[in-house]
Amino acid sequence: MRNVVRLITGNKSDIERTLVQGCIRNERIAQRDLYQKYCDAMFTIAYRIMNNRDDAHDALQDSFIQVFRDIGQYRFDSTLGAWIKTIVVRTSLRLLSKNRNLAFTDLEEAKSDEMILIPDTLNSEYLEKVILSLPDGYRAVFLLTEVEGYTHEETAKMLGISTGTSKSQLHHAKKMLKNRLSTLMD
Amino acid sequence: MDENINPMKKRLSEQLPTHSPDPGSWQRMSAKLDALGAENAFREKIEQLPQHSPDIDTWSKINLRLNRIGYYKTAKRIALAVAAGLALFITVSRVTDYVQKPDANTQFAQQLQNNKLADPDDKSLTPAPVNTEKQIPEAENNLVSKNKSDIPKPETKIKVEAKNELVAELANESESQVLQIPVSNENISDVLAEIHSSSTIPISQSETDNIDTPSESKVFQPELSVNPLSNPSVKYYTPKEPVAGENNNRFAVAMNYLPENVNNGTDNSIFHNVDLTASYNKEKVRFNTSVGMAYNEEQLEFDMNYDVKTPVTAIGPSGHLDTLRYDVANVDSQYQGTEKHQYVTYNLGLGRRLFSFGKFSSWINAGAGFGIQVNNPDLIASTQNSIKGQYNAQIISVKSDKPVYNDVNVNFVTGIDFNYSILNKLSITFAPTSRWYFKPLLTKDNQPTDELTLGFRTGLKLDF
Repeated sequence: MRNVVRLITGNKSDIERTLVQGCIRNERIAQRDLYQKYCDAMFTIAYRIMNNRDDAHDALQDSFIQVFRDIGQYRFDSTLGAWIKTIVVRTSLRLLSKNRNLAFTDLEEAKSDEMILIPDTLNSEYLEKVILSLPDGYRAVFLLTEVEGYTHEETAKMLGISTGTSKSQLHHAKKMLKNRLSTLMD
Repeated sequence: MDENINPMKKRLSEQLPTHSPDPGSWQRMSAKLDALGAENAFREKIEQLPQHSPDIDTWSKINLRLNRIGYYKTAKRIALAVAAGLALFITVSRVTDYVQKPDANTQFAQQLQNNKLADPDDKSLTPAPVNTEKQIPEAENNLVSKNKSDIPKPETKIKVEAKNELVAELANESESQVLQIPVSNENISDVLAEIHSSSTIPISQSETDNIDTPSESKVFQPELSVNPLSNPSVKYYTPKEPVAGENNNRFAVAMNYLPENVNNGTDNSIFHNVDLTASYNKEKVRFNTSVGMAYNEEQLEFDMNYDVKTPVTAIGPSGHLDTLRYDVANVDSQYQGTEKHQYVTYNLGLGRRLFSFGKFSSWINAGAGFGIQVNNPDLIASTQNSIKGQYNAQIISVKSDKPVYNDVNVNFVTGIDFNYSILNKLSITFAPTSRWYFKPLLTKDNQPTDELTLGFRTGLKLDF
């Protein structure tokens, strides 16, 4: 065996890259590590979209199966978490649409952005409950744009609706949320 | 100068009018600040939304589904391979049947030849009357009939196929009926010569000269009523030479070598297959099974990055050498070596004879097999251990183009054997062979590097 040794600098290890390469090689340990790294964050997204733990589990399973199947297509042009999140969101929306006949009606365009006043004393668990109590369509748009940070264009594309519909849905979602929070404050 | 300018400025500012904002501007500003504060508060609360965890058994469910997907994929590949193999096998078999099927004249000539080969004095060997309509079904629709009253004496009726030129003339009169051709003693030799000219069986003048002409009209069945074998001057054909693969119902063993060209993802790698095959021929069909070894030698190049820890020591107060700290140097090494992979292989297959001609015969084979890896030479792992032990190093990363050698591979194999009989029971075989791996031999990035491989098998076969 020929052994050529030369000193170099840098070349730090990349855990994420190692995980991805292990998953591409279909190594179950790497797949498990990847799952454990992202399962909580992804389950949270799925749960908020589905508003049901059982459905969220189904969405999570389907999502990770797809992640392991398609991970060879991941090109490291975004963070791995963002790539997985997109799959989880799409899968959750697909299941939500299938289970509950998710429909979006074209409401009038929002004239101005709705300001939501949140009392300092409001518990975050309670805020989540209020968000989850929104109708499926409103909740999906609100979560994607306000919580997950997708643009209206991205949200519209994922939901298969127009950008205008996404904006109007968000406006009405915020209005409803504001009303429910105001009721709470009163 | 400055003293003069400043009073001027003062005077100007005093003289210019002052303006005040609208009374509601502060309210608007305040509202905007409130909105900004509310937005920030809203964002803060959103970020504080609680996290949720899936159930503990979720991973085991995903794991189960991943395993199932693997099984389904393998089952699907097996089903596709079997279907493709069957389709290929049936297609080739039917094509060869069609190509080899003799026409009516050839069958008739074959019957004559059989009679010649038989002992002419042994009456028990004289074939029983045969309905030629059953023997030559494809000729049925081409037979024509002629009115019995037109037949001159002495007369003989004969059935021949319509493509025969003699019959073709009469076929215009009536189709799809039995032909009764008037044949006199003078022209029967012409008729036979006509038939034999298309069947490659030589017929001598003496054979036709000595044919007994029947006194009464009857259906001419050449193998019965016209028996050229009654003439002792007929020349008998000597038995044929042994034909490779033509003996029916017999066992054979063979030693084979198959160099198989496999793409390993970056280059071609030759797998050397050696096997011992046992086969049983039953007429045109052959069952075979083989056990063997397959091995290859893989040239490897890989880069390894690791940290080497060097202790910095000093003599402590007690006089002992104490390690103060470790200096870490990052090292990138390149290695080259060879791995030899060995597999035990097993195949089970079915063959069908395509043709045999003299000492040559050809078979098409299809079957399935598997290979199990019997050694696991992991050069990279052994190098890692060596470096760890030698330099007290911590391995950071390894870059290699080496494919994954799967422990088990399952394949579907097809090939066409060409056999040449060099001795009575010994023949050599040359066979272009193709393998389709539905559980791959090598994978890289979870994808098979080469599902379809080609090779040329050579072997020595001994018949029993």
